[in-house]
Amino acid sequence: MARGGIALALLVAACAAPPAPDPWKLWTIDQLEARHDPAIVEPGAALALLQSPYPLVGAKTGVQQASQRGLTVFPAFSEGKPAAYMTTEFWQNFDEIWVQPLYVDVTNQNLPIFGVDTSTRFYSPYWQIFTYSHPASAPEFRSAKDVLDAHLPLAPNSAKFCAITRDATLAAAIQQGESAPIRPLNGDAVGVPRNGAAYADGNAVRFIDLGNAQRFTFDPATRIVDETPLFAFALPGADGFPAQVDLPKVGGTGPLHNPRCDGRANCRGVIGGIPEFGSLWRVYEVLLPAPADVYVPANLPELQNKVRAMGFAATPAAAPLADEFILRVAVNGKACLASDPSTCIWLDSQNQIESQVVDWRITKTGTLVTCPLIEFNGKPVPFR
Amino acid sequence: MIALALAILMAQEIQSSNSDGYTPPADSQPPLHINGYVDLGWAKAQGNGTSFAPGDMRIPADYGVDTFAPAVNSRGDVASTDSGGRFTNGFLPRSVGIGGYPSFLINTVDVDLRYQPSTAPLMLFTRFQLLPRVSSAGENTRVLVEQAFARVIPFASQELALTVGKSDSVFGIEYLENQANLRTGVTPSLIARYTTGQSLGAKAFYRIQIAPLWTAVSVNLAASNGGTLVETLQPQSASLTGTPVFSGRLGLEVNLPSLEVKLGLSALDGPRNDQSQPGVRQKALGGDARLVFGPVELRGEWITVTQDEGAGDKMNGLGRQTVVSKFDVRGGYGQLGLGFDFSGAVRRVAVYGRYDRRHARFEGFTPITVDRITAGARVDLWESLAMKGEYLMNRELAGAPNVANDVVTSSLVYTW
Repeated sequence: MARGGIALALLVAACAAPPAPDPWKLWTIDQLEARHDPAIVEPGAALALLQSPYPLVGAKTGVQQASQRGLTVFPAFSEGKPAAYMTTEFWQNFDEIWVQPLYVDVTNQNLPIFGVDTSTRFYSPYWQIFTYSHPASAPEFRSAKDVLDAHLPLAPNSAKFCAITRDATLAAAIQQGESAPIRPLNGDAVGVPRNGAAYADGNAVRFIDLGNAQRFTFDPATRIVDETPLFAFALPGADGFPAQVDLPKVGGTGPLHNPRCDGRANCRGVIGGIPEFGSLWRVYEVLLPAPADVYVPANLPELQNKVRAMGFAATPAAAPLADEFILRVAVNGKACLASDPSTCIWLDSQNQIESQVVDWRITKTGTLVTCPLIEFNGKPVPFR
Repeated sequence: MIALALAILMAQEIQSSNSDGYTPPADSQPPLHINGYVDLGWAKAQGNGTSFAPGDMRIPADYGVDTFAPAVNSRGDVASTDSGGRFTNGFLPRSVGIGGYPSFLINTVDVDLRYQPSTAPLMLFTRFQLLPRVSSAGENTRVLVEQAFARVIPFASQELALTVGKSDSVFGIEYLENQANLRTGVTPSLIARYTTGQSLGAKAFYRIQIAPLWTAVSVNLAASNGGTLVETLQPQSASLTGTPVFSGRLGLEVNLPSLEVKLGLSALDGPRNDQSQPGVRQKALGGDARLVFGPVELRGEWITVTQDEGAGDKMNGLGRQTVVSKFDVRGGYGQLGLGFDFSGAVRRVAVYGRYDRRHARFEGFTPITVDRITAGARVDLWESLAMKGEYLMNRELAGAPNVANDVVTSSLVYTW
């Protein structure tokens, strides 16, 4: 069973005997929270990726703040640089995800209104804004019906990412001793989402807000959200089939074999450091060839053991690399790490994976995940 | 079922000399009868002919409104189902494609072939229908095998009929008016989509008369591919699960000289035939009543339907769809009619009013409640011509956005 993100792999491992999955299943942010998915960390609970065997970074407490739950920050790579994301939804076996309407009052008298709530499997955190001007004498609107029945002009506007939750405090996980979330492994600063209030289908809800910049694209005719590949590394399992390993994933930038970037962050669709991709991901398994290996610094022996338990050699590097290379996969890793790490061919971008790994090793899965980027190209994604 | 019917027939042929066996009627008619009707219409719907509200961009477009509301003819076809490109998930009726424009229509061209040999208690019946429509693909006349069945009445002394093939539903009473020449009004009720579908399978009807009480009790049972929902919602031509859908009605009728009362309870149970998992079920329960007293006819029907959530793709009469959503609905209607018979060119004049109400919910969507007030009249001329006119006031009471989707429609039916 494929999963989007380390969290979901951990989820599977945590369940001794999972029931047969519904082939058409959507897990929302609150359903992940209810089942104690590692994508969401409880107040005061351990932040698994900020504790041993992973390197201790930042304040090094490795514990979530006591006042709120947090969305786990997952390390990744994209465009040859560190990246990070949170996980808010995932879908199993959905062919496509649709954008839904979000009605926004330009006079700011009324809270935003999401057209559907999380109760339907047609819910998605991908919205197109329709603005309207709330009449001064009109009562508060709480549902799409209220807006539509008022017969007000509705102006189509940009796309907006908002994951609905019932948790008023939920935001990115913040380590105790810090004031903002950080990327595990190397402590990079990441973007800071906020928690907002709205209505959805008549219900008072909260939502994770990544700002008003467009974070995804969609086809205006079909309203289908464009997906981007998220590459999950795998090794042959005991049964011969690929088995995903718990390593940072690599975020693509465009459709398979059609990336929007050149592998070095020269991109179409990135405005002010905010990518128009990297919210809705299709998980692709990348079955690594035998010479591949993972960089683990020599001062992290427990992490070396963990990586070796996955089936890698975790070859000690002939020369240390910067922290941003921790858990990065090189297609020639066994040889280059032992001799000269500067000759390593890293699988850290869509371009690199597609050029270095033959097609038959790359398999499309039935898993779609919402993992909004909060770090891209080694920099926090600004939310504005 | 076919084998059983044939066995009964063969046994009757062998016993044809016995007094209890089947005897051809003395005034034997030609065995082949060709009949039919043509339903011409004119209709005008408000707005764009759909129930989709302008500015409602929710997906699926057909989950938060009642797409069946702006009906224009006896088939339940609506003025339009154009969602403006928004994704729909197969909860749609057929459309005549006129949008909000007034238009003449050929609703149905019906040809019935009935073969009834004088040598056997058997009837073979086939009903072809031609449905000329215009759509985004242009002019398109659909040819439909509405019914094709063999029916045997094995015992002359018993009201028992066994039927195999594609035939009318057994659920409720509205299916009795499926055809335009039989329906008092023009359009079906808001719950007709659940009860009036033509079913492909086998069915058995039995009625016993209790003469001293002026009463009869009847049972009508069916095992079919798709149950009693209309074909756009669940296909009939194949069982997608391999498991039949059972449906039936228990009826009680009291036929006094000046008063006729008919009561019925109906049920349906089986797999959803819009997907492939036998364990994904649908159930329905309904009740019906009719009362005829002089020129007054009062009838009503009530139903509740539940459909399970399913896995995988959905397939119905409109093609392949996606998520198989859980669905619950309840609704009903009451109709009051007043009819007067005459001699001469005008044979009958009837006026009627109907109130429909429907409450439905797709998994995770806001429940919607709609109702409809219908008023109409019918005039029958000579033996073969009926003129009908009707106004439908559709209202969105809760959940669904208000939309202008009232309809004025009419029908000229000549039967031959």
